[in-house]
Order: sequence, then C-alpha cells, then structure tokens
Amino acid sequence: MKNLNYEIDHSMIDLEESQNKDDIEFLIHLKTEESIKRMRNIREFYESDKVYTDIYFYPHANHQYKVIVKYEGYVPFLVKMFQFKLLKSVSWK
Amino acid sequence: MGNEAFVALIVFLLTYAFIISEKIHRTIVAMLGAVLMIVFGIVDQETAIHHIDFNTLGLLIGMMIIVSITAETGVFRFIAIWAAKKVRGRPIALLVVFSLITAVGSSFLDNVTTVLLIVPVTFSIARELNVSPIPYLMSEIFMSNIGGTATMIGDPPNIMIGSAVKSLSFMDFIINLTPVILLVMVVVLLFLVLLFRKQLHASEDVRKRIQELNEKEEITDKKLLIKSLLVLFLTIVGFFLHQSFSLETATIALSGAFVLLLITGESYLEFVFNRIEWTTIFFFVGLFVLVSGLVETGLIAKVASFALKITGGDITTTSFLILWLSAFASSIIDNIPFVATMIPLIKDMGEMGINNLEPLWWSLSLGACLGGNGLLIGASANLIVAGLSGKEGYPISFVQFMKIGIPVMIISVLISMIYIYLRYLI
Repeated sequence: MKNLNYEIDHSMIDLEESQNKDDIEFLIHLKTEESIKRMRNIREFYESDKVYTDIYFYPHANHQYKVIVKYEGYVPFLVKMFQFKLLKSVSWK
Repeated sequence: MGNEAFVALIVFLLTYAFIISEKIHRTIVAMLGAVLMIVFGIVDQETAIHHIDFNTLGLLIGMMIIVSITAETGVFRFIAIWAAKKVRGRPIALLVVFSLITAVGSSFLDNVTTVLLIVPVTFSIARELNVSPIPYLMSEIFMSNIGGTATMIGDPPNIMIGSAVKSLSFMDFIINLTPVILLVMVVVLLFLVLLFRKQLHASEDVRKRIQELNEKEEITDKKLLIKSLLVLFLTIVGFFLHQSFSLETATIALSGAFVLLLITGESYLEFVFNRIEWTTIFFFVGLFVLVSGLVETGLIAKVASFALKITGGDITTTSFLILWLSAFASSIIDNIPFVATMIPLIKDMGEMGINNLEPLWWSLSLGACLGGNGLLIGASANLIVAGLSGKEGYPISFVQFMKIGIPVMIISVLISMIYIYLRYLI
C-alpha cells in the first residue's frame, strides 16, 4: 500500500509483499524459533474470530508462511505483526 | 380422548409449532413444554425423570468433551491438507476427498462439529485454487448427514434409537446401516461430481501451490494429539465391544472423556465444559419429558394403532411409510423431536402385533437422517454451513440448496428403500 511504511525486523523475519487482484500476499520467512512462535500466535488470533476469509495462512516448508490478506485487513495485519515485534515500526507516509 | 390426553396433545402441538417457527430458541420452548406437562399433572416429576434417556445425554456429553479437546490439536486440518496434497490439488478429486473426510468424521463425531472443522480449511484451499468453495461446502453438508447415518453415534436419531432399543448394539448399526450408507455415498458423490464438474478447474501452476503446503505445521500440540487420539481410538473400540462388557455406550463415552481430562490436566476442565452444547442437552431433556406426556396418556398407542390400520399391519407398507414420512418430515422439521415421538410409536406397534421391528427401526434411522439433506432447514449442519458461507461472501440460498438437496434426498431414500426391501422384507 502506498500510504503505509513499515520496517521489518530482519533478525526475526524476511518479508515480501505483492498485490493479487483485491488481495495482498505476503511471503514471510521466519528465521528463529521465537518468530515461529509469534507467527503462530498471530494466526491463532485471526483463526479464533470465526471469520474465515479475511486472512489466509498457508504454512510452507522451511519455516515459510504465505499470508493472503484482503485489502481492508492489510493495515490491521501489519499492526498485529508490529504488536508481536516482527516489525520494528509502522507509520503513515 | 380423556381430558389429560387432550391437554397433553395441545401442549405437545403448541410446543412443536413454536419449535418449527424458530421465534424462540428451541431449548426454551421444549423445556417450557416439558414443565407444562408436569404442571398440568399429565406426568408427575418422578415419571418425567424416568422418561429422560440418560444414555443419550451421557453419550452426547462424553463425545463433545473428547472432540473438543481433539479439535484443539489441529489434527483435522492436518488430515485435510495431507489429503489435498495426495490428490495433487485436483479440484474434482478434492471434492471427493473432502466429502469422504466429512462423511467418515460425521460417522463418529457430531455433524455440526465435523463441518465446523472442515469448512475453514475448505475456504482456505478453494482460495488457493481460485475456485468457488460452494460445491465443496454443499457436498460437505450432504456427506455430513449421510456419513452420520452410518453408525450409532453419528447422528442424534441413531443415538436415540440405539439408547431406546436395548437389543440394538453399536455393531448392529454398523452391520445394518454402513453397507447402504456406503452405496448412498458413492451414488450421491457421482451425482455431485457430474453436477459441479464444470465449476471445478485449476491450472497446473495453481495446483502446485497446494503441494507447497506443509501440513505438519498444522499440529499445534503433539503430546495432546497423541493423548486425545489414543483415547478417541479406545473409546471407539469400547463402542464396538460395549455389549460384550454389558456396558451402555454412554458409560464408554463418559469414561473416555474423563480419562482424557485426567491425562490432559485440569486446565482443560473449564474449557471443555464451556464447549459442551448445553442447549442441545436441555433440548433433549425437554423433548423426552414432552413425549412422556403423550406416552403416559395413551396418545402414542392410539396413533400407532391408527397407522397400523392404514397399512393393514403389513410390515413392508409400514416400513416404507415410516421411511418416507421420516424423510419428508426431517427435511422440514428438526429430526430430533420427530424421532423422539416416533420411538414410542414404533415400540407400541411391536405390542400391537408387528413381530419384527428391526426394519422399522432402520427405516426410521435412514429416513430421519437422510431426510435432513432435502432442504436448507432440514439439519443443523445445513444451516450452519450456509450461514458461514453467506457471511464469507458465498451465499447459499434456500432455493439453490433445494434444487440439489431434494434430488440428493430422493436418491438416498430410494436406495434405502430398495435396501430395506431386499435385506429385511423378502
């Protein structure tokens, strides 16, 4: 998204973002046990709300996660990543 | 008809009408109807309690506890993704495997629980394949109702029949119902594949995404997984052997549930007691007392006698009448109150001269369970999946469901009718 800046904590994760029609896809590589645990917590948070199609988590091999977020869920997801300290900062441009 | 019978009938019909109207929660209505039966002196409290089938309640509570803990391990998601990878993400094959997972799951677990476990992973996989989730969801609904018919613990009508008829064991349900259910599953799946095949396409590139998924990551707690699967397995073995040990199925289910709580620790105690569907349990309590009013005043016996007069006491005609009546009634109304009313009625038919009640019990089970597929309002699983689907932007309308549901129901009941005729009536 053009109006949001975020800074990745590279000691924890690597992250690539891409647009897919109305959704945004993240490919996240989790580098530590701690970051794996935090990503599981984030997923648990989203999957406990009984809304199934706002965000999808796809665990891949080698501690990679593909996350597909609907456009309206983009900012809340990044804020959640920030809350769990996988991002160092989030700010409006 | 005496005064008591007349009052009992009025209370029963009013309660039924309120349950069907869904204006007030069905549990509140059933419990109030039950209380009225006691207040009006149709049955006294002692007799009312005597009519509550604690085997049905114990079996339901025990299984709810075991399943709620097992579901926490992520095992169901693991199985679904593993299966999706095994069929290499081919959409039609996925329809078949997700349907089979739902059917097998429903044959041992509550239908609603099963669909709630499979629906999230269905959305997820359908999104990755860029296909509509609706064919999968519809198929899962049908298969949950069909699969649930295969065993004594799969669907409430079977639990109620198995608990009420002591001569029918867990194995009897498998021996008599599983063969016809397997046949129904194959035919209905073929029908659904033919119906949905044009909507289910995904390119090779898209399908590769499924192969990249790591199902092992879905297991959240390996120790809990081992404990809960072990207890679930032993409980199911216990069901197979319950008559040899002279134990009721509720004793087996409750033993499994509390052994699991013992080995998982007290931390799960509060959690599982919050997960037990107390509204369903009290709905059953209310219905048992409500029906007791009809039994005690002799109304059920009168209806049974009338039904036998219509069929001339012929076992074939009576079986088919029960099968089709149960199917159509269950497609419109909740099959639990219907079966609660039919059980004493069939027992009375036994006392009125029908020697072999077995075909009647299987007709009631097959009709009441498979009838739930006819309409969107026919079973709880239908409404829950349609509700979730609509909320997620994929509405399933009443008419859309009916166009597929009615043929599925008719195919299923026709197969059952032929099966009952060939196996028990010639």
